[in-house]
Amino acid sequence: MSSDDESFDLAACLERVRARDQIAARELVEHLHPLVSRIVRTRLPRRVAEEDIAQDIFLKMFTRLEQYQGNVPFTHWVSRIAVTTCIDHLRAQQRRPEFRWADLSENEADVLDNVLTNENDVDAGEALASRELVEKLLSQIKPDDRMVLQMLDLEQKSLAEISQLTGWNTTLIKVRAFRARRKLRKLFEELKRKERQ
Amino acid sequence: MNPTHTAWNRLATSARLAPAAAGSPAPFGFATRVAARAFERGPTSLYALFSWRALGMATLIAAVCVAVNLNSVLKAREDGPLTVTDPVAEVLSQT
Repeated sequence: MSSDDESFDLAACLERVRARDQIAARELVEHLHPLVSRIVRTRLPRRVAEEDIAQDIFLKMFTRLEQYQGNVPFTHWVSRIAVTTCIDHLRAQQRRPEFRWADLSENEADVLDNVLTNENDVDAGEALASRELVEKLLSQIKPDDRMVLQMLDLEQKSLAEISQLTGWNTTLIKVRAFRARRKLRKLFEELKRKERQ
Repeated sequence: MNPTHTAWNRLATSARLAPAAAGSPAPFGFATRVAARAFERGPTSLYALFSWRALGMATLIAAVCVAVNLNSVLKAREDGPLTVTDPVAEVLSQT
């Protein structure tokens, strides 16, 4: 059973959950877990305890269920809880003090070298290394800015979609994207100076 | 500078080619555990939420009142017990 499963009667399930039916609550968690786990995996570093965060998201969902008015699809409402929980988690994490060449794998260092020293596109075979490198670079910027850049540049979401998921207005999103790109530009300049020391 | 030529944009373009994270079914026992925990907390209605806030505010106000008036109360106690004079008895005793 997944959030795309059309045979699942979400409205009836929600009614039963509101009546404190534990079996319905279990079914709802099973139905939404693929959606929630995808959001957590996409937006948080791989090392985090994914199951704990998913549990946190579901508990928030049940606590706030009375506030759900049905103005937006239920999956959008849960997605928003999931995204804001991921942001809270990123805020709670200690940021790494410094980004160093020495922390990169051989492939990641090659990719970084490539993007710093020439104008060519990165080889398609290096996609995974690029993804890992992006994650390490993003860990250097503020959680809110990081989330905006991730959704804009990696997931290619529109400003309206990001606004819906985070609750931030479009001006704030643009400011955060600008700030994040400026920070990354500085980071790239710094890395270029220290190249593979 | 054309933004598509920045290091970040080339890196992001490459990272987008990596397979997207996929969702997975809930691990065994996860849904049961979460459902049980959700209901053990009890329902949090808006009324309950405001009641707790109101209790907190009332406690805070009471504590501030005690702190502000403590000196006066202590001073009054040091001055000895309150004596209440009966005005009628005083008038009668003078006549």
